[in-house]
Amino acid sequence: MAEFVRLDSSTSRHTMDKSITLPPDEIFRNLENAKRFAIDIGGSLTKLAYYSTVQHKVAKVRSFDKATKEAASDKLYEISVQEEVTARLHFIKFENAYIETCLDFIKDHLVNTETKVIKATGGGAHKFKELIERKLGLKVDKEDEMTCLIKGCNFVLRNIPHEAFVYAKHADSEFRFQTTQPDIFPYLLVNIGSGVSIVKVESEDKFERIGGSSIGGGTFWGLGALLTKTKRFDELLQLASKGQHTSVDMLVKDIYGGSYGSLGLTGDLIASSFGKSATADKEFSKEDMAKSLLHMISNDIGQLACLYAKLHNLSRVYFGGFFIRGHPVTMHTITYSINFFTKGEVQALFLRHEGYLGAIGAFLKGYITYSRWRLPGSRAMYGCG
Amino acid sequence: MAEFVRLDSSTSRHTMDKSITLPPDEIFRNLENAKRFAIDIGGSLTKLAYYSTVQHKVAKVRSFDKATKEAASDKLYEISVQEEVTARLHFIKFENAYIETCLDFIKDHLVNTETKVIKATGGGAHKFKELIERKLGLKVDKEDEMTCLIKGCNFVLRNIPHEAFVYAKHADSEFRFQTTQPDIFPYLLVNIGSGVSIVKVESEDKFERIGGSSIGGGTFWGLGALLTKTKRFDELLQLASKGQHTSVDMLVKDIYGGSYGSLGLTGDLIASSFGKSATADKEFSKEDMAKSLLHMISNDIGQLACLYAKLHNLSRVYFGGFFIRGHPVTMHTITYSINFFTKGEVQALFLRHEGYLGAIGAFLKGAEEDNPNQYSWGENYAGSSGLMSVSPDMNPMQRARSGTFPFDMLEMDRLERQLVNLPLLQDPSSYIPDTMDLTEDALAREYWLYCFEEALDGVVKRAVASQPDMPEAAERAEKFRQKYRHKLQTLRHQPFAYGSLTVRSLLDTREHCLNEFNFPDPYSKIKQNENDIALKYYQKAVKSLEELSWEERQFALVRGVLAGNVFDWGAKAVSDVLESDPEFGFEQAKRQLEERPWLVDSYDQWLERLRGPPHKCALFFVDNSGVDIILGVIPFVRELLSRGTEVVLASNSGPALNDVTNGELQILTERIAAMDPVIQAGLREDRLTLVQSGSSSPCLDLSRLDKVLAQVVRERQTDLVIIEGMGRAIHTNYYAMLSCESLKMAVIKNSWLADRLGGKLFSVVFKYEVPAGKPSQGSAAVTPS
Repeated sequence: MAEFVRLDSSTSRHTMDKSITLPPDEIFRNLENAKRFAIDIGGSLTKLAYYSTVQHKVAKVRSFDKATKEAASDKLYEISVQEEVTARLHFIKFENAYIETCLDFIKDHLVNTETKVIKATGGGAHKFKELIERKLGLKVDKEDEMTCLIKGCNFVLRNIPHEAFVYAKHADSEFRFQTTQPDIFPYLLVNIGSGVSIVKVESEDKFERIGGSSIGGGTFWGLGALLTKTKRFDELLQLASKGQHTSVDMLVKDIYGGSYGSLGLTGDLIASSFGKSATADKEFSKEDMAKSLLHMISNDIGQLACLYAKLHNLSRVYFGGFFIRGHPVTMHTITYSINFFTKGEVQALFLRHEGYLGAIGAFLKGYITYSRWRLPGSRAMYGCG
Repeated sequence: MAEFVRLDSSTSRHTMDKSITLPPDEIFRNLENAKRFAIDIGGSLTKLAYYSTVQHKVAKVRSFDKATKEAASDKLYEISVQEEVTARLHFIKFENAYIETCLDFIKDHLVNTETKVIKATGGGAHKFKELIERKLGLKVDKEDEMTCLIKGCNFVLRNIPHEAFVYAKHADSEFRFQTTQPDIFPYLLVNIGSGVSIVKVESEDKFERIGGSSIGGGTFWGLGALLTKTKRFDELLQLASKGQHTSVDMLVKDIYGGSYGSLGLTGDLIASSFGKSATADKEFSKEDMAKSLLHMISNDIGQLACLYAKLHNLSRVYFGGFFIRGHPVTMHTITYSINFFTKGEVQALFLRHEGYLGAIGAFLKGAEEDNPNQYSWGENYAGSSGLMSVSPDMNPMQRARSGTFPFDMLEMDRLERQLVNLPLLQDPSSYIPDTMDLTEDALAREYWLYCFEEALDGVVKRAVASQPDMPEAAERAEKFRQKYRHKLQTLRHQPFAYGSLTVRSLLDTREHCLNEFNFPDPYSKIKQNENDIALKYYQKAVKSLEELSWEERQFALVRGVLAGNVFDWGAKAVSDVLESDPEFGFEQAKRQLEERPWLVDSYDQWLERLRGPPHKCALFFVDNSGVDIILGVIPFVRELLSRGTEVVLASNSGPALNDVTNGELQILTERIAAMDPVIQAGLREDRLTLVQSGSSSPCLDLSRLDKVLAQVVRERQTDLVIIEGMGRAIHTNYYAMLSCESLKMAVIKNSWLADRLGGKLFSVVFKYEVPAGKPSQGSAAVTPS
């Protein structure tokens, strides 16, 4: 969950209906004031966004009137608590399996009758369109997925300090956060979902999908499932993190007995992914195959990203999509690949709120506001489903 | 007249050890003269290269000594058959399983003791090092694999016409061969072996591996084996070719219900390779998974290749490696991928001899002292297998033919002269010598293959007759017949075997096969005879021309060239007449000619041009011996000389049919000079020059001409090119664009071709062209400045 509040407000308190199994006080807050819904339904996760007004107390200070000062106290000024209404953005992420429960909950708590439409994006938007319309009684208004993604990305890069970070597995601190750049453009966004989209973003409204690849998260998942009979993505990553790719991959030294010096290839370099399984008559462990697959895909994406970055002269490359989202394993392999292919010239950057980009964008699409926003409380980076 | 003084047949030399199953006369030829071995051992195939000297017969002409002339005979010149030693490169490819048998065979037949080392390259080189050293007693000298690959690639691109091709699965002809580029650099070589290497080649000695990928042939093989339990690479490709990738891959439409218009993604585009197998709870067929894998890998390599090409600004991208080699399936997917990613801006190019690059390169590394790159080399069609000769699914017939041992060969002959472009080609990079590509024209292909098969009996007869003193000539001629007939059969099934199939390649293949069986010049005596006869009429012909008015003479000269060109043993319609009626005369030939207006007729423009100032220098590519050259061409040349135009006569370096060779033409011009002061003055004042074309073909490739010819053409500021005859002006060069004026003259002596061109037998092509943008000198003369 992420919440954004308009910069003139602060945190608040509110009450939840106790009859519902969803955790009170924690999810779908401020629904009673909610308006402007947006939903981003991906392959496995749903991201919901809405806008609420929060009525909350603020402490105000006021100088005593000159006239009454002496009479009241010797304090410099007086403190009074007042009610103030501020705007807040709410983003919630949960697994697609819970979508019906969530829609019911929202319906029950939605009191604002002005809301007529819900902005929707993501590959699942058309699949769940009918359900949403039926449950919520709102018209689903589909927004272009890529436009939403970019809008959301621009929004977080602009509004959240330390949004972007570099991942360094073996460093003292794994996450090295980047300071916000005065100008966030241009940048390259590599979105690794089922497949890969490589998008060049030049300004708030100008972006272009300059490339892509069919070898993405879906390939890791799909091939991984076929090779290891493991159906869950997370489990596949777990397997991969325990495997040894060298038993499956053919290395430069496996062919040449060592490095291939004249071409600058070290002996440990992977010459051929899965090269050993072509001729070896043996069983390979699930872990090793998963690891080899992970390397293969991460390296490939890293290489493509570098080539597109070079070709378009871009130095900031952000990675997102479910393949990356919250997975130190893939952040590490992608970072490794980028370092290898650019010899350190380009850094792989990741985003704290990458999972919300589509939902944020869809929300913004409907209700463009150029107010500045900030993050109220700091929530766990990889929490909320 | 000495003819074939020594009984010699290269085919009878090999005495085979009967215990070995290697096909005699076919593989490891000329081993007894072999030196400089190189070997490239890959994952499954071994490629062996060596250099041999081939001793073969050539027909030489020589003037009789003046002193002995009267005593000897009344012939103009004598023909002697001499032994000549030429250099040849042999390349043989076979499966690694046969390596021991082959090494034994080589050891048994290797007599040259100078050979001490064998150059070796390829991943398997270190694995077999000990075996090779033990079997052959040669020291294995390892060469860098990539260097060899690049060296080999440069060599074939430079020396083999139609080496590179574009693959188009659904086109009329799957293989579209590219003409040789004047400058082969820079280019990108994408070598798809177990992994992928992407190499930028900038010059002969400068290359850089600019990228690579671990997702290559080994990945297809390895992942394929794991997914399908199919262990053989070929079988995996077979599976893939039968599968449907859409059941495994997640398409754009599977996610979005259709296309993703705003991003320009069509619904059928693969969004995620194997994306469906992530969540679907079902079994996938082996075929479908193999197909999906093939697409995934091909697309990935294609994209990487495009990105590197763009990044380095390269437009020529060649693909090689075992993933590609001889596999239409992978050539198709890579081509598709390149087209997709570059939107057609870059073409995927493949190489006919890609499998040999490493071996060729290793050989060249070892032969540097011979300076092989200083020479031009030519593919020997007689000794080369052709594209996809042993691909299992392509040609089971050929596999069976070679018995237990499938192999593939390439032989290249060192040409005596270095070959270059004619400097007068308008655009050397787009020049295509051949008028008709028979690979793309099934009807024409049928006809010409039939035509050459029909003519085979006559050629065999002629070959035997040319060597009356040789009792085994009949046997050799029979072997020639078998070989050429087999070539024709191969070409019927694989028209792409030696590059684009053309009338020229059919003719050249026949010449190569004739040479192979020691029939260097079956027409030498006929030519001699015809030259003798024609020469007797020379003075009379010149005299009658001189009696004509200027305008009448110009026309008579053109008609003379055309009528002379009717005398052609290369054309079936004419050779039948010549065979049955040896008295078929010049006057009769003139009567056969079509009356004006001819089929192609720019005679009026030519005449107009002649009224203008003389050309500075004319380059004349001549055709046949006898009446053609003596009564047709020389009088025409004589007129040009009289006008003040210098003339360069270009004739074949080696024999082909009854075409006049440079050797013969030298003698003929001397004789004519003796009786014609104009010719004599021309020779004396160096205004008439004889040069060799560098070719031994009845056709003409203006991109492969003797370097000396090119030099002379440049020095003399040649401003007119005359090309005569069906082979040189119609089968080839009909559409050739030159940067100066050109005149193409021919009589169509083939009724099928005449029909194709909209004419009839003995129709005349008289094509005078002035390059666009260049005002003809003639029109300038009409309005004198």
